[in-house]
Amino acid sequence: MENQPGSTAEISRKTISVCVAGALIPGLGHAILGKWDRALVFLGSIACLFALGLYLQGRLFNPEFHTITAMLKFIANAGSGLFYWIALLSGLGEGDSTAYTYDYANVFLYVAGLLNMLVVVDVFDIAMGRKR
Amino acid sequence: MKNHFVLMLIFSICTSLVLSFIAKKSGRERTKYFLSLLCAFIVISILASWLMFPFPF
Repeated sequence: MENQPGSTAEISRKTISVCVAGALIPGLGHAILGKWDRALVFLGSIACLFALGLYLQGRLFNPEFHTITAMLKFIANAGSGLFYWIALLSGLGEGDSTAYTYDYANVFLYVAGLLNMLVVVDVFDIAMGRKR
Repeated sequence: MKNHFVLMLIFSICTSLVLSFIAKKSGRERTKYFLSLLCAFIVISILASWLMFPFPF
């Protein structure tokens, strides 16, 4: 039986590498595929959301799995890739729950990670030839 | 920078930009989608905050 275009059997090493690159740095997967306009928009927007989240005293959640909400918050945060790990290992993202902007900042950090997950799905589709 | 409306505006612009580049192909389509998403974010946020105004918490 022939493989349909975009089937799982056709996932190449290049597809995996662009997805990993995109997961680590927002937009890098698109840049590798030559989609520079998308790459710059994704990097700029996600970096802006993440940086503002930290500036406004948001909290980065550690990989602790005591409760389901803590796990989901960690997954949303970690979606930002290297931004998350560099900030966490640098001691940033302690968060100040008494800060006026704490809730806003956390939403910025969650959404930065979740948008990067969508960006990785987009780069996967492009690498598989399902999308231009 | 602690103005909630400005923060909501920045959030809306960044999110709408990413979603419009993911969802649409041509520049014209992206611009149209971006503006409609941005308007939806702003209008719904203001409407929701206005509806929540009477609540004491």
